[in-house]
Amino acid sequence: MATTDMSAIQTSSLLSSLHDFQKTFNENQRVKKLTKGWNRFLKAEATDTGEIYTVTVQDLAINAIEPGCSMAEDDENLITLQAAEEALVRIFTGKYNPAHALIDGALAVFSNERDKVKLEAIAMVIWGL
Amino acid sequence: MKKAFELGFYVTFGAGIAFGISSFTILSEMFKVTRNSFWVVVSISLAGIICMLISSSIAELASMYPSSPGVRTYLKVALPPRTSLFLVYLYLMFMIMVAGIESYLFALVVRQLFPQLPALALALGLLACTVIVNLLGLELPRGVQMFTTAALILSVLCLGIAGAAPHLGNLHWNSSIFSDHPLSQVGDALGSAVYLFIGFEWVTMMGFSAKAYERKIPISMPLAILTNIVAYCIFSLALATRIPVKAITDTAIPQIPYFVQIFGPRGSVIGLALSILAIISCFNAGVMGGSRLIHALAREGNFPKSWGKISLNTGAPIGGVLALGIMAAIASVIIVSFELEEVAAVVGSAIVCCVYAAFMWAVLRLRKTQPNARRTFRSPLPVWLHWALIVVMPIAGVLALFGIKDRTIQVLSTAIGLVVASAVTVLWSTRYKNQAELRLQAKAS
Repeated sequence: MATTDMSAIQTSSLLSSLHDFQKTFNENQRVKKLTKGWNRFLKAEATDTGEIYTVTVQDLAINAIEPGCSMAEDDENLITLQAAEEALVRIFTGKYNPAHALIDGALAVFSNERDKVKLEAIAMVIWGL
Repeated sequence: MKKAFELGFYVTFGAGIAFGISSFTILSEMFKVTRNSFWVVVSISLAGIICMLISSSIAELASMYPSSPGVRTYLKVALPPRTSLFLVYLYLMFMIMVAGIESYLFALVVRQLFPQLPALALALGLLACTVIVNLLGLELPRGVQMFTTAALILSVLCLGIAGAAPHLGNLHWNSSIFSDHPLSQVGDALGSAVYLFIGFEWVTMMGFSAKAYERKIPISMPLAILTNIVAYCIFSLALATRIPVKAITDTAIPQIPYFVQIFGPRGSVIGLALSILAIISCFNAGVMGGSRLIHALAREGNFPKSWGKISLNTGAPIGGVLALGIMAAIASVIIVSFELEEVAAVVGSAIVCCVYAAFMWAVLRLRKTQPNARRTFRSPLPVWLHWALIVVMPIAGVLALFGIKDRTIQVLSTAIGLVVASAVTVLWSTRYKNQAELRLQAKAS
């Protein structure tokens, strides 16, 4: 399992980490190339606190971060990320490689294979992980 | 409707990935060991039941770590690092060998129609096509995957029933079948028979949602295995009713003489059509699965960074696909040159018997080390049965190594070679990872 970086948790909640991610995502030009024609909804679900946010990726940018998720679980455009809040915060702030988190069993991603790799590619481009 | 489609997808995925062209080779090998269709059917059914039991433990692991890269995660979280890495490398080598075996057997089937074509070129051509498809990031739609698997298994069932039904009298099941050390025959054949079901566990990476791991995935695995038990048993009986045992054991592709027996020279075309379906449902998904495992290991730092490269345009794990393609091509050249398809299949079966035992061990260890971890499915198997399977599976694997009487030395040397290669790779990758971490620390400081 992943080691805990307590400093990261004390200064950042899931929502603020998602806002950080939105800023980094929208400012990165290479991400735009990567997300061309890729419109998806990312559902970030904290398994320990029950917090849920839906991140809307549309037209090469993150346009909205909303609490909860009104979409059907089997919607093809929905990518669900489930982890403990601490792990999600560390993933969205670039402190925990999502590929490692998946292998460690700390993160679950429900989507088709290509979307999983796309997320990984985004993390690679943004943070060089 | 959607729920039925989801369960149908899981079942056909699990059944399809286990049903390759090499399944027929294993049936031939089992006839060689047991010499009688009765014991072939008993061995297939026993191996299937054991795999069903194992699937319930794998389902428990999957419910703890849904959507994770299966074998790597389950063994990593439960076993000591080097042990888990050693088993994962063995499993990866098995996958590389399967790619080599399947491509060679496909070449053999094609050569029944076009004998002038060289086997090696056909095998490498198939591998190249699969690698290119995967490099381009082309994925089979779920519906097509379901259709090809259903078509493959239904065809095998129908052709088996049609061929066997009028000739059941040829089976010669009488008291004499119990006279020739049946227990020893079943013991030798059991480990090989496990090969017929390998891959059912890959469905644990395909869950559509977390809820799928509560019921659908745990149910889908035994259903997929049951489907294959029926198909393999009926086809084995069909083989035994229509062609002599010697003709079955003399070839690695016994389905071809069977179809030729029924349909005449056109039988080879049917054999080729079925092989193409098997390539779509088993080979492509297997190669893709293997490349994802390499990709995951590379991203973890166990393999060179380039093996974890992703295409930013298609999202395809191009590093993993190329690495697997090259290693599978090497395996293919060795298998074609030395006609090692049977040896490789038996050794692969023995490897997976050990990996399945490790899964059972992982379940018990995790129950001890993480008793309160979230488990949306819990295996109903009693602990003693877990321990029994942990002991039985490796024994079945070892016995399988001695199944091909005239090639024992080749089998043993291949098995020892792979074990040594895995151990060396563990040492190398541990050192590689440590050096990479040191470089990263130096860079950061």
